[in-house]
Amino acid sequence: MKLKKISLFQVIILILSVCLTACGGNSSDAKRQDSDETASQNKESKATTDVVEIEFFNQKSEIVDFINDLIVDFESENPGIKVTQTQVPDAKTVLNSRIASGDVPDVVGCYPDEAEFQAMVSGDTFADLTGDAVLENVDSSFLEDIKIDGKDYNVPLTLNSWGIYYNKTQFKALGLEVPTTWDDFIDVCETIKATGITPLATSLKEGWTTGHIGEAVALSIAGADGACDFFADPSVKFEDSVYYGEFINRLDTFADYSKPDASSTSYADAAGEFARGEALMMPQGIWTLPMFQQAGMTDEIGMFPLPNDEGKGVIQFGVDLAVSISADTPHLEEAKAFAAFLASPKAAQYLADKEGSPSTITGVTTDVPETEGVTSLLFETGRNEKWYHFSWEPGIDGEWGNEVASYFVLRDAKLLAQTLNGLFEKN
Amino acid sequence: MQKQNRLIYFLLSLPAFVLYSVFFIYPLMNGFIYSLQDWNGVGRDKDFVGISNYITLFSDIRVRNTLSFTLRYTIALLVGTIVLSITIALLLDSIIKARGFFRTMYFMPAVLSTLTVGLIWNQLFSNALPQFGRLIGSESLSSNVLGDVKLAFWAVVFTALWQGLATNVLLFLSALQNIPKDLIEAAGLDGANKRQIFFRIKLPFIIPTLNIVIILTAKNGLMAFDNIFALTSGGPARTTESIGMLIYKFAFEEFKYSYSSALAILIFVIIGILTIIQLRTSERYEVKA
Repeated sequence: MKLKKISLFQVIILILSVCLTACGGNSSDAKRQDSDETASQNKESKATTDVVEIEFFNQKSEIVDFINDLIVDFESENPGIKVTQTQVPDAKTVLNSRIASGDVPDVVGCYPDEAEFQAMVSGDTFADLTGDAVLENVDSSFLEDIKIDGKDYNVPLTLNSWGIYYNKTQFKALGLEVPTTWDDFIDVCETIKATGITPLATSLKEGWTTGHIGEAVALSIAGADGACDFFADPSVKFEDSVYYGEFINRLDTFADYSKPDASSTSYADAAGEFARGEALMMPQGIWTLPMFQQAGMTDEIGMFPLPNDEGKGVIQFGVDLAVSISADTPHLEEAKAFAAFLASPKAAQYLADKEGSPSTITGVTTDVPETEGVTSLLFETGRNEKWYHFSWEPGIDGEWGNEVASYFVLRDAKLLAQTLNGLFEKN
Repeated sequence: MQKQNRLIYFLLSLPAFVLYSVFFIYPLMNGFIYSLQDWNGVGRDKDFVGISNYITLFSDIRVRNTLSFTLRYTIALLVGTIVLSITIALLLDSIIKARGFFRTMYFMPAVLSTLTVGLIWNQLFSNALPQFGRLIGSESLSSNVLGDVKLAFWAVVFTALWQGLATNVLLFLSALQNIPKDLIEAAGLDGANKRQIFFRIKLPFIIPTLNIVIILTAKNGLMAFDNIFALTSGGPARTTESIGMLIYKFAFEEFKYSYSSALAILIFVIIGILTIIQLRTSERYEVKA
């Protein structure tokens, strides 16, 4: 084959043009979701060139639009500051990679209870906010658990919690009362099953949902201190614990009153089952409510805490939205101003009205009757506990959830105990 | 003139070399360094721990289980791909009418991303197949096969084959069409039957293509991730957890980034060795152009 003769000059031009196209695009453009309308509005009012730009990295896709609205308000009150919201899929992994490479966003939406956050703090990623004015509107009772070495590294804004959704309309039709004890709960499941409807809509496939079920079940049997030790006490193996037998029984209850293929049902499909009335209860967090509404559910929804033998179910909760400030940001004052704005009663009430999560800001009320059965317990002493996985090493909660999901398939209590002993280092 | 030609060739290959170095060589080197540390992927502590990650890998039962699944999956994929692609390619080669239509039909799955294919089949297995199973009265097909500990493996292999055959059929078809027709005619005249023609004439000609198909299929099998992620996420009960999934889980769900890197390097070495063996062995049998 005869090759066409190419001149050296042509080759050099070709290479230069390839290099220029490669360098041309700004790679961060692909990641940023600019609040474009607000940007163009603000450009008209700003004639000065010393506008400070800060970035807010948001991990919660459900609240992107609400945050954009709040940014518009903030920028109109602070014409010298421009805020860009970044929200990408797989946000957790993206954030971890950015922090690992030293590219920490100015303001970061984070989950301060989680073990990974503590690992980030130990790496001096976030600024110490102890005693700062930015925290003045936050109810101090919510600051206690999330302190690290006695210091505050973030501003908690909203809370989440978990319980059992129930179809109020169908419960009334069947003459069912909200169960308060575990035996009542079984009776309710039996009654529903007898009518041919599935009692529980569960996704026993996804580790994070089964992990929640497992923790809630442990709490319902052992109470606050007992449940903590159930996981954390290295001297008592899982199979030797007094609670293990009942723990397995209650896990079996969840499986037996769900659809037979719950172990291959996704979270979205399970939510669909509840929304369509194919199941009358769903163990999930308050974050799922928008999904039922989006699926067009018309029946009334309520929530109750997972029952225990005492008849006073205890809910588990965590801080849902919280913001931290990068320790190395060149715009510390501006970042603090934005964080303080988010924590102001006006902004927090707006978020509460739109999103429905209970707020940590003093004086802010949330009016979501569907989840009230659970959220009202956040403010009742003795009826709420932080999730236990917050005190585990990073990554253990992921494995824990997957092992519980495996149990639902294999139904091998011995194997589960063995694996958990290894996971929680009880060997 | 010679010198200038050499310079041109060098400059022409420079962009590819730069891209290859940046996106392959550099991450590989970095990954190897991480595998010698104890980094969790989140904090900033990265202490050198030598080869202890590799030592732990060899005694980790999860690694052994996933290796077993991955090898069984790869073998099933290889056997299925080679037998079915060649069969379909032979059939397509012998069709005179509407060959273009059939070729397009068989190639369609290749244009979809592996993740999309996984998500489509996830829905089919969860919702459509159970209804069909109930219709024909089959108990095992009446529920989601992806939730069955024994059937999930075959469901995953089936989905991979459904997509994997597309490109390979085309590769074999073009190899078959490049075989000199007079050789086959001559063999036919000498009394060779179809089986002999295939094994003695056609097969030696398609061995270079077979090499490529084996290497690519084995690579896809050993590095399986996206279709398994979309179908089963490694479930039920970790029975379809591939090495690729385990590397992902170690790094991003269990925060053992260095341990995950060690596993990734180990797999790289295994695949490299297998590729070298395979290339050396088949050199003997191919027809050199």
